[in-house]
Amino acid sequence: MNTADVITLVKKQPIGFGCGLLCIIIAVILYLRSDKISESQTEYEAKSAERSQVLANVRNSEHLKDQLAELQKLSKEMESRLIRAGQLAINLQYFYKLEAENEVKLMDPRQGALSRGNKGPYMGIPYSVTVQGSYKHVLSFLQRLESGAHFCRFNSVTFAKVVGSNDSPGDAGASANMNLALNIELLGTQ
Amino acid sequence: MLSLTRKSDAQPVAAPLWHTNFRNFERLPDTKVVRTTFFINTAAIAVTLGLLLWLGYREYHIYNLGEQIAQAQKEIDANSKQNAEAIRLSESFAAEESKLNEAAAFANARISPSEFVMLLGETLPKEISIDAIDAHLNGPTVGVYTMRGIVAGTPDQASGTASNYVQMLHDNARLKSIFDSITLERLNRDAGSGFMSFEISLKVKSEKNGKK
Repeated sequence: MNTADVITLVKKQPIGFGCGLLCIIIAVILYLRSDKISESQTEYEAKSAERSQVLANVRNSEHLKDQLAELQKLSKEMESRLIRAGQLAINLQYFYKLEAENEVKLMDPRQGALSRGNKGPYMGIPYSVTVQGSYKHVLSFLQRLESGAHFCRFNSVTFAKVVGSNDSPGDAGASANMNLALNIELLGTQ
Repeated sequence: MLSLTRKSDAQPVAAPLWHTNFRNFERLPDTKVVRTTFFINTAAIAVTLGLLLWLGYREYHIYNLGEQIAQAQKEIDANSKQNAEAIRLSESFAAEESKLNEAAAFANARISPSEFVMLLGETLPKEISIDAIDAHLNGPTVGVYTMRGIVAGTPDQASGTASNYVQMLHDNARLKSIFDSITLERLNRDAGSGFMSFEISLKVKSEKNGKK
């Protein structure tokens, strides 16, 4: 079959050949753009997720400014309750104040060494404190320490009768002389 | 010589054409009722139309997705400023929240020492006197409370009283919610006072057990 025969055949079936040519062109286009839908779909899903995230952020942050202001206020209040590790005299003054308020005898309060490797913004500053007094006063001192101006964590507590005080069973013991030895940490910063 | 074959068996005699056939079949018109070209054209047009429709559908889908992407991008751009502000506020909020959480977790304890002392005071039988309470704590869920004291009465009565006291501590709802085990560790005669001395330990529930 030579060129002339082909031309004759094309002339004989012009619509068929035209359609065949068009089919080839369409098939090439379909092949070349075969990934386009999945790419567009992926891009659309990513954009859609981003849009949802953005709209959710905007919607959820409607009252965030006020809430943040409230939280910052609380945070400021909380920070006013922290102690500074370097302010030894002011820190010990806290214990002496509690001593005076609760009518107990404070025995040599000491600030311990700071622990290293603290991850958060704050740290526990260790103290060892011993107080003596009546059961009522020592317990009051303990309660004031728990709910006092500074955040307090107890590592060890020894609450014992002073030797020689009233120690017979059945006695209410409210007037017994007590000794309270504490190893505590107060929340603070450097 | 005579032929043995019958006349009917003999090859038919080919009748010579009476004139030369000059017809060119390829150039003759198609005289079928429905011409072959009709089928070829119909099939070609149908296939082409099918492909065109498929291509059109795909292109429309791509165009549609493009429009939706553009719309999404437009909304993102329109809200980007508020979004950036929301993220900044959210980060600040998280930072402030973590500070407050750290402070709250710092002083968090299942039971405060003063509450423990007062609970013991409220539940203490008159035959028992507590001399000392020790607490060794390492976080809100790790710790052991130990109490030492004396029990009045004969050794027989004292051991019964101590045992009942441990059972009473076990049955106390508040203590039961905090302590995993309440154990009488020691009960022996105190040489100094003549009473029976005892030691009871109370182990704080671990985080896992506490959530049961």
